[in-house]
Amino acid sequence: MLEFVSIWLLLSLPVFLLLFVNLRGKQRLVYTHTLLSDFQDRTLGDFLFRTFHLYYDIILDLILALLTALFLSGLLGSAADRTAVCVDGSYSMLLGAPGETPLNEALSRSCEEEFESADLYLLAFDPDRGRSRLLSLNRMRRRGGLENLPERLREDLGFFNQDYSPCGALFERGYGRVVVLSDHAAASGGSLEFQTVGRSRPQSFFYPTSIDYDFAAGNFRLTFQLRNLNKEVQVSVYREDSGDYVPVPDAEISAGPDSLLCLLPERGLYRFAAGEMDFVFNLAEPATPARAVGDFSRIILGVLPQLEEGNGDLLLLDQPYRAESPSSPGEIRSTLRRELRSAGTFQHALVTFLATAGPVGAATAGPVGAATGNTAIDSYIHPLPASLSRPAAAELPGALLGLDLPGVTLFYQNPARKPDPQTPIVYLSALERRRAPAYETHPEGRLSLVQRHLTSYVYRRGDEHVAVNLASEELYGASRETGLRFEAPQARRWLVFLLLLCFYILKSVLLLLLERPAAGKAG
Amino acid sequence: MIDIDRECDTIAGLFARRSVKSKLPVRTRSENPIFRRKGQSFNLKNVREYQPFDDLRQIDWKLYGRTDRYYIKEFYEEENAGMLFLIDRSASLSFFDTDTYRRFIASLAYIFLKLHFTIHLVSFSQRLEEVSRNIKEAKNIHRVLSFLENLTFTGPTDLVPVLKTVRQRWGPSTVLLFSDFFDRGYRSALKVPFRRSFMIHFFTSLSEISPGYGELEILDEEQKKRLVLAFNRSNAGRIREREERFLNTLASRRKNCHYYRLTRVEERTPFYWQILEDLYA
Repeated sequence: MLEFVSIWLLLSLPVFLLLFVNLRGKQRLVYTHTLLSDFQDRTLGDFLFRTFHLYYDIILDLILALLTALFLSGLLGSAADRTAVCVDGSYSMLLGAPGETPLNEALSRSCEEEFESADLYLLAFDPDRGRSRLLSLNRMRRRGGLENLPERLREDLGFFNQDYSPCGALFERGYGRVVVLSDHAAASGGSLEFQTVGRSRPQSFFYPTSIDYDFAAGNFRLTFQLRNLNKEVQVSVYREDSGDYVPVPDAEISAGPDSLLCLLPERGLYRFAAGEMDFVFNLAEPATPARAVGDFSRIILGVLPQLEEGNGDLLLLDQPYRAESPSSPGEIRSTLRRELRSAGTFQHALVTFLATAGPVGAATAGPVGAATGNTAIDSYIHPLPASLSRPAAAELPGALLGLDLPGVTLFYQNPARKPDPQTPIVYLSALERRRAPAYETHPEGRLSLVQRHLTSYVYRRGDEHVAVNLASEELYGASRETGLRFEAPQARRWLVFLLLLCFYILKSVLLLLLERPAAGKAG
Repeated sequence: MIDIDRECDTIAGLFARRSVKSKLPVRTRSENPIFRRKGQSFNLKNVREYQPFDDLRQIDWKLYGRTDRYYIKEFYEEENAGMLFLIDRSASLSFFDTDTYRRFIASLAYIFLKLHFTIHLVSFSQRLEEVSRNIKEAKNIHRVLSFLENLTFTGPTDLVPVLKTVRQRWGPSTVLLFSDFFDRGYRSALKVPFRRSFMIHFFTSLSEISPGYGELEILDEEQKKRLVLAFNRSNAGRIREREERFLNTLASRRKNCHYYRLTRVEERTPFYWQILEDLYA
């Protein structure tokens, strides 16, 4: 960038000189404006047009200088040969003895001859923005301040999760080769070229492996993996009134040799801390918003804690039919379609067929798996990741099997056992425990930092708290998704020359049209 | 010091030898403002019998004594007193060569004085400024010269109220208006009626005084405004077009109005001649 600015200034110097001379030697005379009303500025457009008319040659000269400087400095067109070195700024880069961390090694590597002419960047977590971003270290490297740089960087920046997606910006800036110096093993094949430096793993740590909500028991279950943890895990909850964490008295903690289980009855912002490490979770029940149409569905919606009334992608729908004559699937299909259409657009619809009369033989004439009770019914299980159903007793009369409605799961209330006590159970999932929303990896939206710890951050987004925790890869050393591919916009040289030529021709034409001396002063 | 053009004596002499009354046809003569109106001069126009609507004071009692009948004597108005010089002294006149401007007016006044016209001088900018009335005979040309020498060219032009005031105050039969007409209301000014008017337009084109193509900062002394524009072929063409429209509007034919346009480099003598010709036409 510095090179570009210096070239541009150098090229623009004569232009500015000409502008200065032009302004100094401006012709001045006294004459009436009576006949010059066409040239008075009435609107902003008039002013801009008149200014362009006055200084178009200067403007075009500056654009030409800008393009030439962009091209000569390599920012446009010819930068594909340049290399960017990007130092991994994740948590694991700080592990190890002081002065011997992977970060120290990476910075030393960046000063080697191979990368001497390359631009140096650090891919670090920006605590204020809640996401990783690139920071240029070129100036620091030029000043020779790399010795104390790790400490300074550690103080100023958050060494946290790793997210390589900002590296794509380097390709957009025209770099042909981007080398990432990281302590993680990387798969080849992506656009980024990984070089491994150091490899330190924490000797003791703990990490959450699952966070679920048990609907049956009505509490949150958090399990952690421990390794050589010689300190007790402290659980505390955030109190809005005091603005601080207070210990949780009713937390049930059962610790094994390598694991820890914690049961928490209430939702809230919890912190688990042991030594320098901590994790913050904003626990909430994982209720799925759904809409119910029909009495039966409304009852189901009220009974099931997994569901809550709201606008979501899920629809519960009753579909009554005459039990003694389910032989008109066409009529049922058209009725069902009409009701689905009138209900609106939903990604998933759970439809329960409710018999309105006595038993029918259709249930026994169901699919092959009906007799055994469950296997064929699997095809009816709704594909929601948080599926609610295990339709043990649900199967359709054979006459209704022809209903082919994508995104619709059909259930059948067996009229033989009317009133059917099992149908609500159909919806009561075997997955009583579901993963609870607790923290985010890449938070979106407008964030404001509330708390900052070494391995956790808490932000406020609107009225809610957003917890961001260290990714497991930092502790486990698992291989990352490094096969990212970025497309570099390759500006072509001929395009630059074409642009230069166009501007040059434009200027020449304007000069000929407007400044032709042959037009003279004669009236 | 204002010089009077040397040709003025010759021109005045030539026109003095013209017997205006004899050479002009009766109809034209009757329309000639100099001899048209009834008034209080000593030139007898008519003697007629007294009518009931006549003023009793106008009865010629000597004729009554001789004839025993009431007669009225009518005289011509002394109209050659009404040659009004309206002289623009606004700031915009400074584009024109003010010496030439003064010299032209002085020379024309001299010719009229030599032809025994009475002239009145009135200067104006946005309102009437100085007035010098009833200058008769060529020997009084120094009054004209002194008046012109004291002219200072300042202030904006506002023709319409000036012309209306002149018309109401003096009702002159013949007006000679010396101006550059650089006034936004010049179109309205052309509609103010006079019995006979001579508009002498002193015009300077922007291209005449601009030093050449390039960035041009133009100061309007009347409006105290600055305008920066690129004086190039395109803009020069636009300005020229506007000037032509301005000149065409002024030169358009109007009843009882004669228009003359002078530039800084033009020969002045033909204009004196033409103005006199038009005056006696």
